[in-house]
Amino acid sequence: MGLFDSLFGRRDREIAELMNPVLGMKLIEFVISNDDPNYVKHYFKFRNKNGEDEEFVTIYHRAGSQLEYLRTMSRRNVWGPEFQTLSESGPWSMTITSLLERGQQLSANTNPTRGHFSAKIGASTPLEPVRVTASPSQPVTGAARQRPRVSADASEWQVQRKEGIEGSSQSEEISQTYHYSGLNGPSAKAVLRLVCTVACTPDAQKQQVIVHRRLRFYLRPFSLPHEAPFTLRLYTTDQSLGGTFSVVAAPDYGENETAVIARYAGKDDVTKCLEALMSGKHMTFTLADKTETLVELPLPSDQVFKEIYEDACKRLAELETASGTVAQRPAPLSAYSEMVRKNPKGYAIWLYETDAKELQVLLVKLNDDGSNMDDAWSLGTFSSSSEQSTFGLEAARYFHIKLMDVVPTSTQDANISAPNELTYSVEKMDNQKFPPSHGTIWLDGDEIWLGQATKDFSFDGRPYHIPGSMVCFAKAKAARMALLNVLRKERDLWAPGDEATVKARLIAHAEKLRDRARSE
Amino acid sequence: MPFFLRVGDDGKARVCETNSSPMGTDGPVHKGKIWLDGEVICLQFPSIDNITVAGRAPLQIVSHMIRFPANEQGITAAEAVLHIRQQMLEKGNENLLLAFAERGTDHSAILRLYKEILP
Repeated sequence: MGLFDSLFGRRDREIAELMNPVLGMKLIEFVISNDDPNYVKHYFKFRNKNGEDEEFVTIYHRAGSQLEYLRTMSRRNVWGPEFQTLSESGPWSMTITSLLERGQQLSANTNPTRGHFSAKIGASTPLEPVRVTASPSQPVTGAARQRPRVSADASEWQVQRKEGIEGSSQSEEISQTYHYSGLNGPSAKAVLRLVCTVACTPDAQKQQVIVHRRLRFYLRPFSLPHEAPFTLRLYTTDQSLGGTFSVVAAPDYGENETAVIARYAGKDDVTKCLEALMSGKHMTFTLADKTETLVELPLPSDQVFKEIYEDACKRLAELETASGTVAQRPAPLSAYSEMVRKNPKGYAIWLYETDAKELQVLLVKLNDDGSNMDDAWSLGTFSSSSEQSTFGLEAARYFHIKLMDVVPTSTQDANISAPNELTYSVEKMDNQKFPPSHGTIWLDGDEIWLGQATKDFSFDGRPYHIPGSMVCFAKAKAARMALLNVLRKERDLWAPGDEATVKARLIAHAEKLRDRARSE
Repeated sequence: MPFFLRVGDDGKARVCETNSSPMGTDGPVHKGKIWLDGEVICLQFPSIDNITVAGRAPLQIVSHMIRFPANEQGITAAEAVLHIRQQMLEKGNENLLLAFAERGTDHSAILRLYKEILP
C-alpha cells in the first residue's frame, strides 16, 4: 500500500494518472514534423479511456545542432477545436515533462515526416504581442532538449510621494523593476515594473481609515495595437496565494513596446495580488490570451515589500488624521448636499444618543408625514453634547433644514444599527436608485427558490449570453450559505465600475459559462 | 423538459428535471426581488393594489424594501418575511393582509408590523 493509498484511499496508479493523464491513455500515433527549417515538432495522438482522441505537440527551436524546447500545445474535446498552449508550471507540468522524455525516446526509432498537419500548429497570429515566454521550471533531461534558463534581476524598491487618489490628500507609489534575460522569442530580454499606489481616507462613520490600493504592471516588450482583455495569473510558486484574474492591458503611450495592466475585473483582485506579494514567496507572473500563454515570468521572492507597504499605510493614515482623530472628524457635508437640495423639507438633522451613549449627529430622511425616519446617515460622533450641538447646528444651517433633538425609539434603533446585527428597515422604493436585482425569490413548501433571468448583451458588435437559471435551496445552513454565495457572485459581477472594467468582467463571465456549457 | 438546480441540506447542488416549470412562468404572487448592496441583503416587494373590504374604499399595501444582514441569520429572516408575504396572500388569512393594508403608506408602521410578527 503506497503513500497516496494511505492518504486518500486511492491506488497509486489512479493518483499518478490524475497528475499525468497521458499515463492512462494509449499512444496511437507519433510523428516528428520536420517541415520548418527553424522548428521541430513532436506530435502525439493518444486515445483516452472514453475513446476520445487527445493530441499534444511539443515544439522545439533549432539552435545549430541543438534543439531548444519552446512549448507544448494540446487539443482535447473539452477545449474545442483549437490547439491550446499548456502552462509550464501548472497542473500540466508533469505531463509536459513526460512528453519531452517520451519524444526523446521515440525519436531514436522514428523518421521525420514532411507535410503533417502539425507543422502548422503554433503559427503566429497578426495581433499577437511579442512573446517573452520563460519557464522557471527545471530543465528536462537530455542535453539537446533543455528549457531555457532565465535570470531575473530585481531593482531596489522605490517609494515616491504622489498626488492623492480617491479623495485623499496624498498617496505613495511603491515600485520595483525586474530585468529578465535568457528568454525565448525574438527578444531574449524583458522588463517588468510593478507599481503599487497606496492612499488613505478617513471613514468618520466607522471611526477608522480606509486604505485605497492600485496595482499596475508595466511589461516590455509587449506591443499592443490597442487595449485588449487578457488573463493574468499571479501565484506564489506553492500556489497557496494569488489567483487568476481577467484584466485589460493597454499600450503605454509614454514608452515604446510597453503595455500596462491596470484594470482588473474582480473586486478583490488587487487584494489577492497584494496578499501574494506580501507573503515574501517566489511567484510566477503569467499573461495569456484566449488561446495561449504569452508571457510567463518568475518574480523573485521579496521580504521587503510588506514592510514598505505597511510603513506607507501608517504614514498616510497619520497624515489624513493629523487635524484630529478620525472619530471626531465629521463626514464631509458636501457629499449629501445634492440629495438634500432636491427636497429640503424631507430631511432633518437629528442630535441623537445611541444605547452605547455615543453622541451622534444624523442626517435623517423623513417619512411622508415628517414624524419619523425613513433612512439616516451619521455625520459624526462627538465626545460632548456641546460639540454635538454646535456641529448639528452648523450642519442644519449648511443644508437649510430643521434641527431636531430626538429620543430613540425601537424603530429608529433598527434603522441606524450596524448591518451585522439582525435588523430590518423598510424604505420607500425608488426604482431609479436601486441596482438591478440579482433575481426573484419565493417560497415553495420547504424550499426557497431563486429565479434569474437570461441576460443578452453585445459589445463591439459581438453578442454575449448569460443564461437564466432556477435554483431551489433547502432551509438548512449549508444551503442558505450557498444562496448567499450566489448573491455575492451576482453582486460582484454587476458591481459598477468604469466601462472597460465592467465590459471585461461581463465578457469573461459569459465566455466562462459558454465554455462550461460546451464541456458539459 | 426544464432543468433546475436543487441545493440540498448539505449545500451541494444537483441537477433536477421536471415535467413543467416548477414555479409557473412568472413565479408566485408573494415573490420579491433580491440583491446584495455591499453586505446587506435587500428584498423588495411590489405593491398589492385593490384590496377590497366591504364598506371601505379599496386598500393598498405599498411597495417596500426590507434590508437584512448578509449572513445566515439574515437569510433566515428574509425567509420569514417571505413566509409572511406568502401567508397574507392565502385564503383565510385576510386579517393579515388587512393588517398590512391598514398601515397605508407609513413605511415605519410596516416595519413595526413585520417586527411584531417575525419570530
